[in-house]
Amino acid sequence: MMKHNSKLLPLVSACLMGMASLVNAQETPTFSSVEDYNNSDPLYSMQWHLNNTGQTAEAVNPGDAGNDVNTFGAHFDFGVFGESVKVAVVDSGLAIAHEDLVENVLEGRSRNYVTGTNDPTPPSESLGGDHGTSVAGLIASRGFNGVGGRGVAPLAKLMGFNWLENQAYEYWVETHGGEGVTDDALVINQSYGFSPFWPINFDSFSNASEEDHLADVTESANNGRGIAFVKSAGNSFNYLRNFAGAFAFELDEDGNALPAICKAFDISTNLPKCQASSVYTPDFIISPYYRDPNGTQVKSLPAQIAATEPSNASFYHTTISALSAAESVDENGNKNGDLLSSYSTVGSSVWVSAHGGEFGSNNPAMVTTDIEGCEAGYAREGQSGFFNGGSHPENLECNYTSTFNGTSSAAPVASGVFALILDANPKLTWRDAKDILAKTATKIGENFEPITVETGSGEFVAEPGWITNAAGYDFHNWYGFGRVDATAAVEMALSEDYQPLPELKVTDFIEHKLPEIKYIPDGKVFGRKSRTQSLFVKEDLTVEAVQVKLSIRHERDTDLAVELISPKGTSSMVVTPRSMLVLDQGQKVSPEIEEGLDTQVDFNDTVLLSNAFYGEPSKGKWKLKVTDTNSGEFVFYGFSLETREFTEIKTPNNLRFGRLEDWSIRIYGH
Amino acid sequence: MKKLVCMIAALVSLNAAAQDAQTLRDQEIIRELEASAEFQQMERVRATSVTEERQFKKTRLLKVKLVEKGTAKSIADELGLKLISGKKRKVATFKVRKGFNVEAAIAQLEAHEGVKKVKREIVVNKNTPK
Repeated sequence: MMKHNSKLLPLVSACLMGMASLVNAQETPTFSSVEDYNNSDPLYSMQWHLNNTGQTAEAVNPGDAGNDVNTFGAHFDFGVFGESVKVAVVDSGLAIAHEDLVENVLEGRSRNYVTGTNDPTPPSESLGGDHGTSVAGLIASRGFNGVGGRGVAPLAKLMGFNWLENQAYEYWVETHGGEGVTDDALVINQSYGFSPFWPINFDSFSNASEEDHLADVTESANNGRGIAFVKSAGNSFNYLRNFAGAFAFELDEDGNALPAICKAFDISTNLPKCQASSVYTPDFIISPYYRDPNGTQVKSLPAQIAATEPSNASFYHTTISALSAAESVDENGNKNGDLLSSYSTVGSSVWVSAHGGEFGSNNPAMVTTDIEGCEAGYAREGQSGFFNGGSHPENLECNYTSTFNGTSSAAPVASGVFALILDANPKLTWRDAKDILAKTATKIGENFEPITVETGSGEFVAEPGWITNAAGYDFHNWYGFGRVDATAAVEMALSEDYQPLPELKVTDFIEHKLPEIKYIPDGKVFGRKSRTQSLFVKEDLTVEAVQVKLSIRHERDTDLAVELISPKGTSSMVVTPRSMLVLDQGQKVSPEIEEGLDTQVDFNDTVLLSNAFYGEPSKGKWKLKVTDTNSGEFVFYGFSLETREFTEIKTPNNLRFGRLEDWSIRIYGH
Repeated sequence: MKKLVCMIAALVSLNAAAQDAQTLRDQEIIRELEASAEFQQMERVRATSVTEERQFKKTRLLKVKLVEKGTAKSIADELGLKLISGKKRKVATFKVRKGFNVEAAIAQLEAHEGVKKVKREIVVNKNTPK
């Protein structure tokens, strides 16, 4: 049995502390000049998301100078690089020996759920890029080492998990704060998602299990600091993938949609005119805005609302939308308020926005790490382009790419900023870091004009754009509180004036109980265009977020607009109309798909989340306003991979009024 | 008559221009789709003829709604199951150990007075890089 030596212990402890500080001293870089800082990674000059000087990053068009996440001051002035923070990258894999990642990868801490080893490096024969490797580079590719580029938190520590290759719940738990695996990570990046085309039940077994687990680990992990779960909003502004072919549209013998009566009444399914002659199953479901040759994003509504994916309706995830390198301009050359990446999913659950870029051909994409070598990766032999083709003098070995994009990029950029904040001040929790991000974000796209739709009885404002809530916060469904600013965030984190948030308090779902009329007018009925109901919240909290749980019967979900209005009068559009929630227009799904994917055709205990009420008081009367915004036909499109053809899908208006069956709200606050 | 011919010609040319614009837009969309990670993944699936997204795999995990929260550990111990999550909660996940029958474990759980509902996990790789 080993005996403790009371005299030796303090000595050993002091030695270990000294060694730890020596390690830190060795790691913390110093710069003799700004030039020294800029030149210490050869690809830094291309990384416009860190320092946008108007460079093209191998695309045709330049970015807007100054449109970046402003890491310079955080690194150079405050000396904050993220070295005390462990970041878990839950993704497709992670090339742990990559020349610009290896120094930041924690040895033995990654996992491969296909091979059962600690190395999630993708197989060498994979031709395409490894998503996780590129994501990791944006967070923490090693900075100031004379190799490649740098991450937002260039000294943060990385762990990689290829959970996307095997999505069992057991592994989900491990990778999302699981004991002894990722419970010491302060940031977990999730650049993945699912784009449902039906309103999901938030209380399903799978989601309820995940929510409980997240609630536990965000409270208990890291001695109460919790874990920042950072989530990409999705890439479905324009289209959704028809996962598992769940959406199949029935056509009559002339190739037209079956009449509305066929769906409205059970008995009508036996009518001759309700007999389908063929069934069309697209690979992608395309928004009509996207296919409109005269359409622009700034006048379009999103195909996917972020919170329709339950993880993006969770308080415990921080949802990030993606930004381009340059703001779009109108026909007169004036900035039009559209800085959003062309593909980014948006909605009231977005917290802040960060850069994801475009596709790297016309407009800049992200410059980050790629699978090493010219045999595989996004950059490889035979790829078009100077940089990705391996001809660029700084990329002759194809270890980096200039075409990575997606909210997959925006999330890790934000994760890097989380790591900087949490490194700057070890007393801060994940909620404090979120709070700081909101308080220091930059308002962008200020010329944004509200987007309207024609209802058949007048115009309806479907996307209001920027609002200022009663607590003084600016909020936008596309950008959340705005673009992240790493230097401002670190400065606030270091400030003695910053007051951490009090303990989190969460109400139960507070139900609407008043006996109010439930039908939802279609067009203008008896002078009404909407159904509005209200409920009273007794709890007096300062709001951090509000969830609204909805049960609505409607024959065409895409017609619906849902607004939640706070006691202070702030209105948040939690469901924008013209989304691709179109499963209710398709044929009935098979029992296998219904069970496996938890499909349903109506809002049934579906939860949306809004961050628009941040800082407002919860007590008082909350109103819910539901509007059926379309009394005519609705057309969208299918796309087939095999034929590369688009097919028009016409859907008739609902025959029966919709009904707001049930709703409740839950307040997260302090 | 001349006016009518002119009008028809104008309409035809407008229609042709609109069709051209639509064709250009469609080509642009196809290029963007082809550059997307999801499209490339679907193409890979198609090329290897593995219909992985239709593979709904049943696992040894059982998701359980409990009558009372915080009872998961004692139920797991009682029935010889491994508790994966939900120790303090009303929804718990249990794993049936190797060598034990999953259907029998479901039946045992369903018969247990502390259990409301049981569902066997079906793994669907529905999340994709975003």
